[in-house]
Amino acid sequence: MLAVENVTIRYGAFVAVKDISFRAAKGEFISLLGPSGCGKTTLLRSIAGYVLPSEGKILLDGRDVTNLPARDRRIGMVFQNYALFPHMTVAANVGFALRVTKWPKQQAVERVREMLDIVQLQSMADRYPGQLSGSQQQRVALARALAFDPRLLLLDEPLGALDLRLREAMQTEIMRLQRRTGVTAIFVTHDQGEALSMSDRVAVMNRGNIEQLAAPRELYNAPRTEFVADFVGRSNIFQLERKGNRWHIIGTEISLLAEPGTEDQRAALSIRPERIRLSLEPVDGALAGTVTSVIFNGLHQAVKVTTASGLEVVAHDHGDWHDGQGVYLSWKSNDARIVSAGSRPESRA
Amino acid sequence: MKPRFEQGYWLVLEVVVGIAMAFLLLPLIFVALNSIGPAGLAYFPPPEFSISSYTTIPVKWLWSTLAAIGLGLSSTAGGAVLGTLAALALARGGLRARGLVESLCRSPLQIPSLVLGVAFLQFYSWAALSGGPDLRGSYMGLAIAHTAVATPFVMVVVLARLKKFDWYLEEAAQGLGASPMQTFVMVTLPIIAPAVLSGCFFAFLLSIDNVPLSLFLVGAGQPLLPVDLFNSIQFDLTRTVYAVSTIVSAITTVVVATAFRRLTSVFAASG
Repeated sequence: MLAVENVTIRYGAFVAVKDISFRAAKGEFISLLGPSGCGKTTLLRSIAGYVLPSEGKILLDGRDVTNLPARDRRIGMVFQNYALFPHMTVAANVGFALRVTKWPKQQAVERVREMLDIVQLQSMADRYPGQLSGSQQQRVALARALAFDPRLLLLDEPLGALDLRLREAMQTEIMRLQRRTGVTAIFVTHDQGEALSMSDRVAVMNRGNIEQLAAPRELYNAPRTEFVADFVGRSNIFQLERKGNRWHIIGTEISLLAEPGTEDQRAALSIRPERIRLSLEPVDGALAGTVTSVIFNGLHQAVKVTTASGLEVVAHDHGDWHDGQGVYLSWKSNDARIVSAGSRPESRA
Repeated sequence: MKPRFEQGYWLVLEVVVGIAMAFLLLPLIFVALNSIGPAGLAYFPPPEFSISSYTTIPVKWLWSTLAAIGLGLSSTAGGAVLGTLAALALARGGLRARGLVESLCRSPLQIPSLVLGVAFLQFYSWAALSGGPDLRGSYMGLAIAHTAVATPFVMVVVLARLKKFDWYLEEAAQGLGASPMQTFVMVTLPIIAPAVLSGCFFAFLLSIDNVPLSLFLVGAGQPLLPVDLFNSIQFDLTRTVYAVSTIVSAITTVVVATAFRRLTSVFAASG
């Protein structure tokens, strides 16, 4: 369906996208997730045909479209600010592609009606975009992008301008439309919750690279890099140092057996807060520590513990803990993931 | 009840505005009053009430008015096309020496019309003497000079509008399959049209009474309202001149008022 092959995009000396390759299967929903400036929007715009890759190829249905102008690609795009034509009615916006590509009039009229039906805006057909609410404009943008039977649907942070409740409603709406039309979709977002809940697969991007491209559960449960572990969900991350065939958590006496075959001298250990168990009694292999803060936010209770060896660990646990209490920390060995060390999201580093 | 100082403020404002309005309108009212009287040499006040100054307007004034309107319309049309294209090129960026090009395009606004008129005359003479077309004393020559002044007017207004133009609209149109031409005609132009129109409006008004620019370019005996009025006032100050001026002022007032109302409503609708 869509194949991105070794695409690099440079602006002068700045490399926005570094040698990225991935494929999307027919009907698949893929999110490009990453902090601002990670290159996700640039990559999306090169797929759409608005940015020419400096190197590499973009293939659509097996055909090289790298140098094809945007208008000949038949790709529907939903822009961050919707980019609805302010001087055209909702119906004219939705029918724009049909008009410029000279669909037979009757067929176009029917198609517009059908699209407005799907996004439930039949009654708004003669209104102007300026007279619609944010989420209605959003639905018009979706209908317009889908009306001409695009080979691919691209969405550039389309939910950024909506408040939380509308966002959730629109997430469902976009997924429903995508399933119904069976169109392959690439969705750009910096919101990990959005990416995880909507996508078949998520590509986590950082500094122009894809750090990991995987299904949401795999991404969460088995992050491959420190960046992914920290950007997707919350995680306790400890730096590891190789000594012989064991990894040592830097600054502690704790060590674990390294898998054979890895040559890396540095790595990191990632443990999700909800996978850490707190107990008053020592269990086998548990770390002793002291509770330093307890913060309850409704969804979970974050208990911060400082271990005897000086590590700071956050556990999500609903027990009745209080500051200064002595506790024991433990986790299942397969909940502690060894990930490759690297940069961490700046906002949380 | 408003506070005292505010009352005082409003009073001062009203007086100042009143004086300014009188300053602007009194000359016009004087012209209108002086036009009502017997034809012939004009002096104030007119000796008796008469409308003979109106009934005896020679037909040449009609031709010179039409010539001025025709010149205004054609130069405005030329300025609209050139000014809009120039603004688009400047706003889109990617132009080398953008600042220089923009100041060059604006320069007809900064050079006094009189100088511009002389410059065009010299240029036309040079062109004619070097075997090119002789544009001296022709409407084509006038139209080119007036277009040169109309272009920056349209360009400046359209450029200001394009500063806040959402270029994603053009991308969206092209992504939906529109050619560059379709994108311009169906998306860009309709959105900037109010700016183009208001630029045209000012360009037209300026062309209609641009005496200094036309003075050197108009041919002997070639009718053109602003130049003819100027000459009449200079050589034979009759009440007819006042009558013609009053009619022209009345027409422009009506046209300007309606156009302004239309333009403001178009602007309001387009956001």
